[in-house]
Amino acid sequence: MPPTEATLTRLHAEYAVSAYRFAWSVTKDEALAQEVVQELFLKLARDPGLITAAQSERAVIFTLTRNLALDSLRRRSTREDALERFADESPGWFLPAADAVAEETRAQITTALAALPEEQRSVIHLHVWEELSFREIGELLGLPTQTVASRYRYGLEKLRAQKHTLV
Amino acid sequence: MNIDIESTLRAQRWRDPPPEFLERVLDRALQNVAAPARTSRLLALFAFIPRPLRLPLAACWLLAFFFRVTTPEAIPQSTLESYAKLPPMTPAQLLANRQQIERLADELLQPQHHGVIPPL
Repeated sequence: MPPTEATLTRLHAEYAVSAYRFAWSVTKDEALAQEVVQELFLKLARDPGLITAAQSERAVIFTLTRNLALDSLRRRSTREDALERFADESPGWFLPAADAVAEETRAQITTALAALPEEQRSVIHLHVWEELSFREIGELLGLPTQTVASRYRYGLEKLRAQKHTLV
Repeated sequence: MNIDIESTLRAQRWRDPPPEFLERVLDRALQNVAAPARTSRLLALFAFIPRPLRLPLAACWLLAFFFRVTTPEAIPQSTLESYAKLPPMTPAQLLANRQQIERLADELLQPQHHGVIPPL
């Protein structure tokens, strides 16, 4: 197997699921997230230099995923329109909870998270579920660490407030 | 109500993508990597040539190929030796010589072809 194919297979095994979740988080649309992930791996296949020249594979994967997701939103319509269109929808991001209370919490969190601006949701996603540090998120989003931390804090505050409202 | 929102978020389990979708993604990506890989293997043959030299070398090779195609075949050594044995003559002398040979040949052959047929 040529090195590029082996590298691509490894990247797929390590990052396909994470990229899919992140794309879904950004776009709030599962079908769009699938297109983004497909496009991401086609891009990596056609240009292996993207990974070989990079210092952090993970940073490249998430940066490309976010850029492709935002591009796909722009293609569908303008970004604001698309976000507004999907704002009322509750994406099926999370698995159903075992009991009724947890299920209610899940529904509230999903709704609150979907209502956040994309910038804050992306930071929360990368920090909470991908376990990236604020510094790493700042590098891949091209933002100062303090800005990332602020977005995270504001995002959590909104979620907390939203959850109180929903409760 | 003090809600630890961060731990609530962490407790949520994301849905996995459909396995067939993941397979399709990898298959399509690998199909796209196959063709460039073959090409790059061919290009790897020229990888030892430094990049700035590749274009000038290619131009030289094309020029050499052009001259190789357009230059006539070399005269064989035996022909050159035969020419060397000839007395040094100008083209005008050669032509005059040839005309004289043709005239003499006509004179000699004329009676044979056009004269009276000798009796048996």
